Amino acid sequence: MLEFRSVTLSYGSFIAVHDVNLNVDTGGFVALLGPSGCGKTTLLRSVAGLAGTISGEILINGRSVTDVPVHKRNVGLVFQNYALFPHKTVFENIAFGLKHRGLPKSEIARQVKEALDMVQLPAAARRYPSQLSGGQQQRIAIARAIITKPDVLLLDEPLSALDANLRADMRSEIRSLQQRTGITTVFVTHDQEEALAMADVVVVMKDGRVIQTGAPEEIYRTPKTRFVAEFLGHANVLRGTVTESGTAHTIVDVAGIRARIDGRVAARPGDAIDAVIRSPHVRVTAPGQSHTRRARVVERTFLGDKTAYTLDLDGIRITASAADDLQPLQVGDPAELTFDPARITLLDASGSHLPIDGRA
Amino acid sequence: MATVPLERGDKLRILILLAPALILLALLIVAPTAMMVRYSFNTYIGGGRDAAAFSFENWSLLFSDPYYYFGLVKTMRIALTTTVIAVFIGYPVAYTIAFSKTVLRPLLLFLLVLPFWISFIIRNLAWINILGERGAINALLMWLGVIDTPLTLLYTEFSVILGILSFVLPYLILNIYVSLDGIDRNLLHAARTLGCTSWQAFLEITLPLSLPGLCSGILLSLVLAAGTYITPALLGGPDDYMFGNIIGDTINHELNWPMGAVLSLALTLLLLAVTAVYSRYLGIGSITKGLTR
Repeated sequence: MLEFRSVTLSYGSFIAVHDVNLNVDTGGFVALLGPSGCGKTTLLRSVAGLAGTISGEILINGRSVTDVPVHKRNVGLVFQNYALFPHKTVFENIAFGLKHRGLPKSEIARQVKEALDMVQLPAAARRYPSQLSGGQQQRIAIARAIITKPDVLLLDEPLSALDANLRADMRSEIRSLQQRTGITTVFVTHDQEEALAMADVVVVMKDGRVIQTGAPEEIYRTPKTRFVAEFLGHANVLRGTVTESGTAHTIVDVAGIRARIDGRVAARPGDAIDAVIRSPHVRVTAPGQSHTRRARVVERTFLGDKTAYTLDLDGIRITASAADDLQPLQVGDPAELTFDPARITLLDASGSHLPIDGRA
Repeated sequence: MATVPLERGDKLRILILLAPALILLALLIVAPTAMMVRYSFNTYIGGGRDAAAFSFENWSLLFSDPYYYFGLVKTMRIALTTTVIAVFIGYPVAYTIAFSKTVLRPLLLFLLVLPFWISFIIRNLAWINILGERGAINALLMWLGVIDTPLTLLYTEFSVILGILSFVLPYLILNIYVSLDGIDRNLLHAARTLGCTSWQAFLEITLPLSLPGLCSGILLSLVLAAGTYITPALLGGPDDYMFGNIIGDTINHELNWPMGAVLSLALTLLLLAVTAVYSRYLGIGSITKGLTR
């Protein structure tokens, strides 16, 4: 188990991470997600002892490591640029940690072979890092980090240097490797899709603070703040007002479009709200007879399995996506919008989550 | 690396672009060297005159006269000693600069190249004021009462080495610095997380990765030191001549051009041999690699 207790990290007068409290269960896979400069990498590196001045405490398996020097922390760190030793062969790179733990040569050779098999590069031992592709270097970097059986594995933007196809492969490979080895893992990413796909728990960070922590589905479905809503899945966050507040349902008017939400909300008619609606839950149709306000298609992108639209509704930009769109609208066409009320999340005027009671 | 075959026009353009440099090299290096080679086979008559000939007399004198080959051995010894000392002084300095704070680094590098703004001769002469019998060091030591009579520091091999040292150090330090600066700091972090103390990380990562810069710096230092002429003349005693001084004497005082040509060529060939050995085992490319990363 990895615990952060009131961890604040600073470089001189600059505070990179503010008062983070976070527990990562043994064998857990946690993603630190946030835009660049949010402090996620600093927080990750602090576990290895490579980040600024720390106040607060970091515990690994119940033992405080705050004052333990880097080389005695028993953590594995995989760098964004892999940081493989260019003057050492793949074998020497992977063997490095074992060598400095004083293992006998035969044992090192056996374990390195095992590690190379595990990352599916059994023939790479004698090569140099520069002779390997990006994806291969990535695997070697992971093998090097996990061979010492670290208490915590830290991955700093592990996939950002790979091309898109390889990234998808490595994503599932890292995930399965993590599950097979059961090593407590923390990884940093600015890619929300990556975080949602790989982690058990996603920690959303902004400006050095943790904004929301939760399972991927939870974070995605019920963002607690406007920032989380916009950062994950680029949701539409639209101004609206509560028009009716009942015990069983609530009606909101969002940008002139009415939506009837099942469930009770702690708000009175007339209260201002923000409605979070993701693009798949915005339905775009050719204008019919109904009296809803009309939007105009500003941009249309065909993406194969879906079509993404950007629409203009009296100056408000709304994104929508339609799966299997057989009668697509074209740029400039008028369109009618409806929101799937079951998928609307509400934020109150201060931008924090407004729970809907009675919703499944 | 894949190379695109050059077209005719490209070749011509490259030739035109290189022409000024090639002409300059031909005029200033190839032609004089060729003349020296020709001179080296002439015979010296005396009184500053020589006769056109094709004799190996001068060349055989190089190997038979101890004045010459001891001079060569001594020159190489001084160059080596200086270089070894320079490495031990220079590496920590280069390391300090490379690993200093980003804001401090330009200032330290500026201080390093600052001596180049002062004439080389002035820098040599400055040592006289420092090392002389009434120089700074002796004055200080006598004032402190550590010694009664001044130490003989000046006009010794020591002062010559010191002079050359102050000359080659910045070059060596810059070479090492460039190599150190190019090392990805994450490699050191990686080594540390894998169980290295910072000293072990230095030995495993920093030192090996700085070797190209260190080696090219050593080569540069050896060549510069072996070719020194002014420093032994200004700071050395009667016996502290180096090969450059022998060449100078032979040509300027004896007016023996054929022998001077032999000696010049001998030093050049020796230094070329050192460079060739370096190039064979370390690759001459590593010099430029060290500079460009």
